[in-house]
Amino acid sequence: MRFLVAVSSTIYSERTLRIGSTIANAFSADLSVVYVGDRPKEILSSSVGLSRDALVNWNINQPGVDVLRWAYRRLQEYEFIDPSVEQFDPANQVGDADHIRVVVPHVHGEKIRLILREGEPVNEVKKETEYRDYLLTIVGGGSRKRLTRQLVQFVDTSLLFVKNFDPDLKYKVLLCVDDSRATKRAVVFGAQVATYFKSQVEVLTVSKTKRFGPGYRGAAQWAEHYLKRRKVPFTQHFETGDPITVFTEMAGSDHIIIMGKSKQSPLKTFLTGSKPGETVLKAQGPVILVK
Amino acid sequence: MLRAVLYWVSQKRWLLFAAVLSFALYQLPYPQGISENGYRTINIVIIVLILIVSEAVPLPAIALLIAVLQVTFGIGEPSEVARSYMNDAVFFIMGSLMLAVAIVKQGLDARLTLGILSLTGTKVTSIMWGFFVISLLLTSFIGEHTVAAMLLPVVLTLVRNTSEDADEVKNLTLLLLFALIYGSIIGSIGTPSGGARNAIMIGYWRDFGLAQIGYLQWMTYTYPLMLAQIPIGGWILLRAFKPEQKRLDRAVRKLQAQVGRSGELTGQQLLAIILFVLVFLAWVFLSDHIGMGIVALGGVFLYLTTGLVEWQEINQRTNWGVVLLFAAVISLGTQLSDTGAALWLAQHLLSLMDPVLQQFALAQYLLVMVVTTVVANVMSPSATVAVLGPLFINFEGNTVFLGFTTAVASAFGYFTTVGAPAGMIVAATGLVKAKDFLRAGWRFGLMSAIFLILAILFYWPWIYTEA
Repeated sequence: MRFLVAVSSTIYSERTLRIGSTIANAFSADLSVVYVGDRPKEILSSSVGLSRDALVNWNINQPGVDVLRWAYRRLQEYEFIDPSVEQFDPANQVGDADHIRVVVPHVHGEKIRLILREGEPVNEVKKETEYRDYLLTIVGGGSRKRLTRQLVQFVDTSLLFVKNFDPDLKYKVLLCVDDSRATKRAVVFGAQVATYFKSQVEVLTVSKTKRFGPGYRGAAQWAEHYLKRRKVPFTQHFETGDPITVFTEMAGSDHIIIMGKSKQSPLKTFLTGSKPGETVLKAQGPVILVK
Repeated sequence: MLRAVLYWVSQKRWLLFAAVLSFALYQLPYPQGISENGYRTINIVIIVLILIVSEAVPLPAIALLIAVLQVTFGIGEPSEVARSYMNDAVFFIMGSLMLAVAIVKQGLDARLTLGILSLTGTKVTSIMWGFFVISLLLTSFIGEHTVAAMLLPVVLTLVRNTSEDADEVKNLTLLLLFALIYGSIIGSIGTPSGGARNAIMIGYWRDFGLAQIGYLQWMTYTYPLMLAQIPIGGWILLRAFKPEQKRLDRAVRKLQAQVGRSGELTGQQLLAIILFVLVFLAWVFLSDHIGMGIVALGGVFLYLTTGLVEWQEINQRTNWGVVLLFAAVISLGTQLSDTGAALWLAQHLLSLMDPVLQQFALAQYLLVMVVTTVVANVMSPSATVAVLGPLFINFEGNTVFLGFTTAVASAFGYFTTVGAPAGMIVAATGLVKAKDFLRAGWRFGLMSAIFLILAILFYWPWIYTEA
């Protein structure tokens, strides 16, 4: 099992990396850290390539390498990897078709992968998830409309948006269930997260009308059985109203929202957005969308 | 499947927009006073501008599209279009990219560093002046990308030697990096070999039968303009980025020790310098007869045959797609002129400005300057001259002044990271941000614009009548 964490800079990605390593620990997963930098304008790419060669001769790293070195050290601090062994060497770069990997040898080699990419963020994260098999992609932000919608629709893994994450807060889990196919996987995922963090779970089913259809009731029932079997403490809620508003209001800033990815048609999602995507945009805390 | 299609649509929205716009323009009745071919050429120019700026498709694909559209729109015969893809300006772009690889590979950066530091000493202001002036002078002969590639590692090493903590040397870093960027930008107007756009403009003048401007003649128009900007440029830099340190004694000593390890000037390096001097002399004395591109290719031939550079290295480091794109865009520029589209556009633009022109004779030059600067800061300077050059030299007025105004204003890439090769090279290190370009950029833009206006009003008319 492998998770992917997308980092952008040493200033803004600290929390993303921290929650990424914690969740990876919860699932005993390996972790890939990808830095996506700006791609130089193609029309000037010869000039940039030439200067990068010259910089290498002077032992000066290209931009993302320093961010990856920082990520490596942070993962040591969080004890995701052995803090006593320094194995990061920027010279250990392996170039692939469209990205560079800084290889960490021996003990850490399999547990973490450090990857450099250049280009448009959604495109590069999508390419990375197609290149290797990832279960979960962890990204920061979740406030920029177009970026968030595209990540939700086009990145074909589960997604964790690390939004307003407070490392000192003990988060509860808000498990949003409905009749979508991904709900069961969301419940399983949520149960594992709750077990690891010893969090209280609130199972929430929201209908736009007062009537809860069989699909909704069935999903809530299945979640109840599963959580009981896993001995996860939970409370069950049935609410009426606009799902996105109810999810985000109930979650506040002290819940991690966990829900399945959208069931609606790709075209409708493309044109108007989806329930999960809009929830991410409106939420005040972290959101996990399970594929 | 549908999701993949939607993803493609989201990534290629500008391509789709260009296609729809082009189809709509193609179907519309063409305006009076322009030939059908001219109207279709303008249609292609619009598509090309959208695609280059948005990078919706790879650049070589745009180059191929231009050829396909020129033929399918009936603008030119296949052989005629093929012929228009290759001329001396394209040879020059190809040659200068290859020469840059050959020169950078020689390790002359260490020599250059020792030379600069022996002149400047350890005072920060002197070092800034050193990098600013040297990058400016060198760029005027060997082009921005070569100089930036050679001096960038030196500047970064000097900064790193001063402090590993980026916050402690934030302004120092910006000061030295922008001395390099803006020095290179200003220097690029100095001679025809300072930038591909200069060679493109010379090619247009010659091919359209408007003027014959030689290497030295170009210098008489632009070199004083370039030199005049040195004192004010340096002063602006020191005002915009006040360095945290006054002296860099330890950092300079460390750097001198580092580069000192490379030993004496080697025979290979000496040969590389001699060959470049030969190329330069050939540009000055022979390019009027055999063209600048042929001289550049001759220089590459000498570097290859003397073993100073391997073909594999040149092949790997040269983006042939860019060469192909320039070939295509120059071909399109030629079609703009041949079909009368450039003249029609120029006349329409000027008629729109007629009331202003009646009052203010300089207005058309200001229009050229502003439009060129804006487009160059979005698209890159050389592509701007290749596309807009044929249009602007068809404006009423002195074609030589209009051409020089276009070429010089295309070098006002002070405002964005893509406005000049040197800016892009430095921005690719991640150490300067877009907002840093605006911090000093507007002052440099204003300074250069004032100098250009003074040249148009006083200096160029004076030497033009003398010539």
